[in-house]
Amino acid sequence: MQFAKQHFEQVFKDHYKGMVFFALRYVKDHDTAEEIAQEAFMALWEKRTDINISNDVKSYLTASVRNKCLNHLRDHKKFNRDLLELEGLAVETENDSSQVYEMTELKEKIEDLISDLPVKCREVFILNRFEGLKYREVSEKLGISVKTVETQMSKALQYLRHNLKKYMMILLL
Amino acid sequence: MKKDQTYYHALMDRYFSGEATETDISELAEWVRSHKRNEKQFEEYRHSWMAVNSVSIDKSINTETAWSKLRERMSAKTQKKVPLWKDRRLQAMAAGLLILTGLFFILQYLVFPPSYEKLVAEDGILEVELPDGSRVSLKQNAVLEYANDFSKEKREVNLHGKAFFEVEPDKDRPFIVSCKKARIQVLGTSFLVGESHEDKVEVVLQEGKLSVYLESRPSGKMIMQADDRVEISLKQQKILKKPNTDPNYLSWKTKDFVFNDVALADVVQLLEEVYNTRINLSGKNLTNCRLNASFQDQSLSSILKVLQATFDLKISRTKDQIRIEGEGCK
Repeated sequence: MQFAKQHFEQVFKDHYKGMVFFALRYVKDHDTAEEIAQEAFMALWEKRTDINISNDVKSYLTASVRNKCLNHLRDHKKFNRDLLELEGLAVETENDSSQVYEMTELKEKIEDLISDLPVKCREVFILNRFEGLKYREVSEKLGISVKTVETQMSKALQYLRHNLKKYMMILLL
Repeated sequence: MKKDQTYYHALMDRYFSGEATETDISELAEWVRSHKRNEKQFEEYRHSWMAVNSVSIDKSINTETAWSKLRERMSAKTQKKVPLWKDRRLQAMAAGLLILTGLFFILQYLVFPPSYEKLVAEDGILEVELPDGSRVSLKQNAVLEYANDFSKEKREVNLHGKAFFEVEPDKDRPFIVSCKKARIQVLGTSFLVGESHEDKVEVVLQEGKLSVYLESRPSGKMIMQADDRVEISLKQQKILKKPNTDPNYLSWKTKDFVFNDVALADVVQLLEEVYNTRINLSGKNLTNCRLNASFQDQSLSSILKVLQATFDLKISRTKDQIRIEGEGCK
């Protein structure tokens, strides 16, 4: 077999997070992004004997994730060509997500900023972003309104944006 | 409602956090397109969201967990969906038989295609989901067979070796495990079945309720409650209820261990079984050592480290076995 299980495991571990990140740029929802990445790897595994993927696994996965994301957006009536164009997602692109993804300095800065947030605001932010709870679920968990969740999230993001400005300049994405 | 900057800022956050509705999206697109300044703001928001996502992905995704999830899917798919006649090894075997026995066998094979699925835990534990949604963990070397029309009327599986079942409840279609001549019938529960000795089958029930009987005597049912352990002696045609004294009956699946004053030799034997390795104890007084400890899903080497520190052992590894030496205990 040209594409042994062990090799596949390595491919998975090398590219999984990058693919979730890429999917997230399209679908904006963690669970969906993970599901799509899983499906793409599953498709890769099933096709392992049909195509010579070892050459360019990454482009294969990228294309596969991209198609699945676009289908998802269409199915959920969230497909908007104008916005996708602005986000650089409308045309076939390389998955260059790794650029942001590998910036450890930026990530550390973000973590610092998050820990500076006011308690309530931080709690909402962490539940939504790191624990994958939807606004509605956060509101139920904390006994606050969805509107408040939204306000707190905006507040957190506002603060991050403001303090990340100089870092953002380096990002050409 | 007056739609000011704040409104659109919130709209953008909603969009990038995946909470936007269809209307939100088209409204946002319209606003962004209407002015270069808005486009620039959208760009700023996008960048900061990407940066935040890179952190949240790091925090919330565990590649190991994701990999085992995928591996489960992979094995379920390759094991379940590939019909026997598509199995490459079987194709090769069939070719060999063609030479030996001629067309006759092939014809028979084509006319009566095998009508069951066979799952074999060849290398390590195999976790599978059956067509009805029930889950089975097969211990290494265990074999599970079930008919292709499994789950139509009743759910019957045939087991060799040891397996842990988590059965999807369904009152109308009983789930029956055959292990040698013993039968275990369930409605929805989780339990362990295994051949323990040559003529013995053991069943340990974790939760739910089930009945156990011998193939020859379906009317002689023994009802089991949670935490019961039953031993079925095939030779004597007896089903005996015994308290489950072994807290480690499921260690091969969970890698959780509880040792309450257990002899080191027994500890080592269990570790050999669970981690599929050979461990050699040498030193007279080592057999006097008794362990009080519990471990939860740890690697063999971290368990060995604890043993090493507790009993002052010397542990060395060769290619195919682990050697434990020490003064031992009094």
